[in-house]
Amino acid sequence: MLDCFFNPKSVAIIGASSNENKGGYHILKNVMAGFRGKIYPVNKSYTEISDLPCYPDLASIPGNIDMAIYFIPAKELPHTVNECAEKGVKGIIIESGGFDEAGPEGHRLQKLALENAAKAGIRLWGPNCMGFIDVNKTHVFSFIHSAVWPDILRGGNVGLIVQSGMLSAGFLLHALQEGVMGVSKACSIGNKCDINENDLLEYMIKDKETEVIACYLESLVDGRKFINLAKKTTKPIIVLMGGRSAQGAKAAQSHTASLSGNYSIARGAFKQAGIIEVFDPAELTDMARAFSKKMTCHPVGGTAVLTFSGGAGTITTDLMDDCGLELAKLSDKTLSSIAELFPAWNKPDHPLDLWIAIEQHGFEKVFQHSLTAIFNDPAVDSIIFHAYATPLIKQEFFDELMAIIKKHKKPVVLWVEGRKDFADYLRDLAENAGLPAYREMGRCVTVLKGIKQHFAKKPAD
Amino acid sequence: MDLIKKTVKDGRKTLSEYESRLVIESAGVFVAAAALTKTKEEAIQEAEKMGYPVVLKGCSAELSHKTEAGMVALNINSPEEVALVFEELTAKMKNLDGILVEKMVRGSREFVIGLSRDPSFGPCVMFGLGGIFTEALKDVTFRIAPLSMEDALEMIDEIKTKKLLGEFRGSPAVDRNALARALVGVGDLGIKYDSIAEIDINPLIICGDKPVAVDALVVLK
Repeated sequence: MLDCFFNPKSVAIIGASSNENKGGYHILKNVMAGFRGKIYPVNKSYTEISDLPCYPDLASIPGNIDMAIYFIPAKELPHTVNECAEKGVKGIIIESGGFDEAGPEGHRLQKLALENAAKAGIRLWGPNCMGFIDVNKTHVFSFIHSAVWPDILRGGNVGLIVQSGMLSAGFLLHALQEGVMGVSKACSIGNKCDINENDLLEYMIKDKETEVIACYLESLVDGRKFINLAKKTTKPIIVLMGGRSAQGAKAAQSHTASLSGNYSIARGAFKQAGIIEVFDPAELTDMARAFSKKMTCHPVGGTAVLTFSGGAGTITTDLMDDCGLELAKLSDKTLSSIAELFPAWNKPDHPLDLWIAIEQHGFEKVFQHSLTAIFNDPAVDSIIFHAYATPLIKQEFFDELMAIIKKHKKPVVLWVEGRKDFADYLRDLAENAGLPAYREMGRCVTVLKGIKQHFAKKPAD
Repeated sequence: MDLIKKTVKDGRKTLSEYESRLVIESAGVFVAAAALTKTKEEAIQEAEKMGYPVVLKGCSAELSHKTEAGMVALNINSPEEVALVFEELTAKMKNLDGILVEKMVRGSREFVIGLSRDPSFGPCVMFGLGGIFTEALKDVTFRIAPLSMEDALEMIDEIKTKKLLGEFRGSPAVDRNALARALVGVGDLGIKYDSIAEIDINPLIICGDKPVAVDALVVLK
């Protein structure tokens, strides 16, 4: 249904330019960088751009066109849609602004274009958006600056649906540069005059390359449909909802002409559908990153906290209590097994502050021994593990830990504390092994809460 | 239910309290014992049957703000009082369907249940704290209909004042399943009758361990 966008054989770029300061230059450059089909720049000011013949209008293009990217002023859209119809174009990504979000004239243009498109059976994406990137195919159908992405683009299983242009680019660049999360498709949907979050959610639920779906939305066109789609899938869906407050709703309206609606209802509905709600963009990518690691969990017990600092243990326990995450009731067997590494004058308690044992036996031995005991405790369904940033821990440690995690189906989230360079080193080791690692304690707690919520979901038939 | 179809056919937008009570009762919500009476004698007879104290209310579909209109009399304890209040209420307003005699429900824990239609989500059920703090605390939660029992139980656990639903100052914990069934039932009404625009059950008083609707309003589209 959306194949004209995700699998086009030919693309026309209306508003292609050779001027590096213009979006039309970057769209062409981006398409040329990874798209292997026919590319037709359209602009009457040029006969050639970047060694490609440039056409004055769509009618002059010799071949068929599956999809067009539109990047010229808003007022030209209604008649351009008709010209696209004559060429048999199936979908248009409108990346220009100046439509519904810009007042009555823009509203009129968007409406007229939509009517023309509907008559011809053309699907419209946008307007007022940054198009999309299909990372695994290297299709960059966006005016994102052509120099910022090639060295960091990393394919993966996270699909993004974002109702904001710069934010989707920012999200993506941030997430990709962190180097620890791969993206399947990043879609910016703007004013969503035709293609909306439901079309993309439906597509991504079926899409084999997408295993985690993360959304930033400023409105829900048909909330009931969104919820019903979400209810039926086992893929985690994470939503950051914009316009929760009265002031935020006003901002959303001028941003993407969105009427935010009643957030209290959306909130309840998300819970019903097992959708994980987050509250800022970094939380969205951090949550998606954890799920991208394909963890599993049987949420039947509590969370164990292993730390090298009593303070960190206390704070983590407080944060867990704030969001209703329960501290596991460790068995006597588990505690006495861990006590073997403790001096006789000190007994371990939960949250487990292992520092005294570490002083005596070193990190690796203590972590390994206590983690094994914890994993075998049936009261534990998940673990927050505070790893002190030290270069003494090697990749093998995490690889072995990962093997135990897979066996027990108990997710582990890592908090990495210490010198930045050591922390980065340790985080890379952990993430390479498949363990999500964060620099904030609070993030470990919210991520684990999200994981437990997701695995408690019973998908509807 | 024929009552709703009939009201739509009559071109009316609201149901009287008596009619509204019948609708929510059919959906599984406990309502206080009540009878719609046409005469003083009938009112006294019903009051004696259910036992004092009782509440007398003017009943009409045109009467959506009974308290403000002075059409509610609480804590009536004798047949003489019933007769007096009956006269007063009927004198105040013409075209009443009758006087509703209702068993006075006592309980200090008040909640609200609502049904509304959202442009994006369709029929939604609201549950929250009722009584005098409703506006100040805005302690409410929503789910979209239809609700599963799990959804309804989750709503009950979600409000900030959920402690009021447990054992509280000598009162027993609320029958959670009865409350959840009421929420599910109200949601089902929204699914079953497209013509219902909203339902307002306020207050829902916790009487012993049972949630009992003391006032109800059904508004049609």
